[in-house]
Amino acid sequence: MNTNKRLNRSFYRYAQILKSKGAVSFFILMLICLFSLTGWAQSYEVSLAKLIETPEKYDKKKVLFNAEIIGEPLNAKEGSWFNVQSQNYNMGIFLKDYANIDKITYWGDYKRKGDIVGIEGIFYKNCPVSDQRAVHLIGLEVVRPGKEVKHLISTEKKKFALIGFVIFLTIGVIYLIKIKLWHKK
Amino acid sequence: MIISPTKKDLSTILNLLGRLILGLSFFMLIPLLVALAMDEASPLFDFIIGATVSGALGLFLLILFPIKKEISWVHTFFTVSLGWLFFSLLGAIPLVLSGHFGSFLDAWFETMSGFATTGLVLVQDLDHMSFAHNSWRHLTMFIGGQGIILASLSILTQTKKVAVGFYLGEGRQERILPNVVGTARFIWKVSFVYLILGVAVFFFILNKIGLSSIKSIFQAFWLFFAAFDTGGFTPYKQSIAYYHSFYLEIATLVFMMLGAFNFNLHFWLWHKDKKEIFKNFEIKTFIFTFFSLTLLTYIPFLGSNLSQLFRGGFYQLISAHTGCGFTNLEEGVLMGFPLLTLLAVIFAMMIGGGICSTTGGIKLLRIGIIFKTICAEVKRWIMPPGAVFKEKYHHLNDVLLSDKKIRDAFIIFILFIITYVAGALVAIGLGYPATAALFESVSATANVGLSSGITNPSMPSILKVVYIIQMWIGRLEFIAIFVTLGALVSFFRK
Repeated sequence: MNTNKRLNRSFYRYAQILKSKGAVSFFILMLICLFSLTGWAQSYEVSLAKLIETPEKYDKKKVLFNAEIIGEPLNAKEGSWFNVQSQNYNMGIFLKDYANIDKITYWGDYKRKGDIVGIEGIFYKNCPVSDQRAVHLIGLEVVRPGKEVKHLISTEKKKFALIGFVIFLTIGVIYLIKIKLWHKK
Repeated sequence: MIISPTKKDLSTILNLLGRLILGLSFFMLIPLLVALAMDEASPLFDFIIGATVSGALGLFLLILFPIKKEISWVHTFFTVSLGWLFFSLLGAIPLVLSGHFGSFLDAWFETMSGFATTGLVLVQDLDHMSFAHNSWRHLTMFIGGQGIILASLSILTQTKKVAVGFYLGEGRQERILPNVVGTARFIWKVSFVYLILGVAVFFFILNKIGLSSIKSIFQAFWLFFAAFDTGGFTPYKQSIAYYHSFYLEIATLVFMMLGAFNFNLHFWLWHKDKKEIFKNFEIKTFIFTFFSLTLLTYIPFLGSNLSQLFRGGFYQLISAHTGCGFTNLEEGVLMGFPLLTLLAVIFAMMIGGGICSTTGGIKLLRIGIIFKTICAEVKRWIMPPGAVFKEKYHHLNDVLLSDKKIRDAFIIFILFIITYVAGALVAIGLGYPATAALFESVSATANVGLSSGITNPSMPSILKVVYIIQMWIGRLEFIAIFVTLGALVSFFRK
């Protein structure tokens, strides 16, 4: 009963404040703060190609992009690195939290298509760690898991290899016979 | 009177060429074994095709074209010129079959770039390339850098006359030992000692930064081939920037500089006088050109921190001066440099390294001679009329600056400048910006491999062919090719 009374009283007071002019100003101020905060935290969804071609535009800004993980994680003094590629563009990603790397299953190489990941991070034209162009990772999500790649050998290739081998052997035998004859002479 | 080759000469040349091509097919067995070891079935077939086609062609030439004349320098010059062409064409077979190249022309470009130790690439999706194909790409640089002909020379021939011809035809104008076969073997000895050292250093660094042992050992070999032979290929599209390792950058700097030193200087330091390094004319020229160009590079970088100076300018400058072509910068960063820095890098590429080394370009000794000639002329103007004045320089011994030396230096200098400009004009004609066009043309001719971004699979085919020719003539330093072309014209006129 007491609690209900207290709640009613608080609600009444709150309604009174809202009615006053000061409250309107306070509300506007809150809205401005909220918008500016949203602006500060704005992420740019961008392709890796665009990021590399127009680095000035995104310097020290939060960026979001998708790319394939390649190679392997690389140890560094203050954290780790890994590299990603998308549409023939590559970028180094720096991270301190190793837990993000554990999310990756497939690292792209000859036998594997790497995981396609969504990268969220701060892009630097001159990264404070390496003085190179890089992204400092905030978060990572696997968008499409990678897979083992089977390289099929075409029948033509097999045929060519066989024909080439037979021709090479035939010419080799002819050459040996020629050398023997030459030695006999 | 021009020496005109007869049919007997051509038969002799084709026989020598056959021997070299047979040697190439043996080299292809290395990536073939890598494919077997790494369980890469498709690349295995690519190298079976490449090796058997090369082997069959080599044997075919040996059977059909016997040596009909005593081998002279004309034959060897011909063989050197054609050898580079045939090696790059046949070496492209396994690469084009890999599916990483848009056309045979692209694969040919890649192998010519490898054999000429240039490092410009047209490969697509490099990050997914097999161990076997990557081994072959890097091996081409080792074979080309040490000298296709020198390699075969040590194995196939003991004839002094043939050896000298091959040696000079490759654009190497100094002998280390009186016997040129001995010279070839010394170059191989030096290279193998550094190979062991380099592979150990690179393996340690790569393993430490997190590469698996098997990857570390392969990439240690590849990086050594690329650094010491000043080739510049890497197994990743980002070049050295992929590794994000300061220690690896330092190690590559050391080995690319060792590769750019005159092999004669290595010999002198190993077997004779260690103080030669302080007196040597090439080293003095290098110090002068390097510091002048560093100054040019750093003027626009004033106010930057030490790390930016090293990674931004110093690494690219050394890479350009040694003709290696490694870069630790991400894509597009280099061409974003101020014009003055770009010009410094272009000049460094133009000059190159030591005269008997794996680098391309005009070379330090010639640049030094040209500087010295200009200084001597100025001195002569201010001397009393009739005064006798002779200029010397110290290159292993005290050498008199003779008219012949000056003439030779100026001829090669002018030929290089003409080629640099001609290549740039072609690219400008195709619509590329002037600075980028000059940068790429110099990089191709001086066998460097740093790129302004022009070299990519979508560039016009005509430009690919132009760069292939530039890499070829830049590597052989004109003479062998001019002799071949002149003799061929004369043969067909007859």
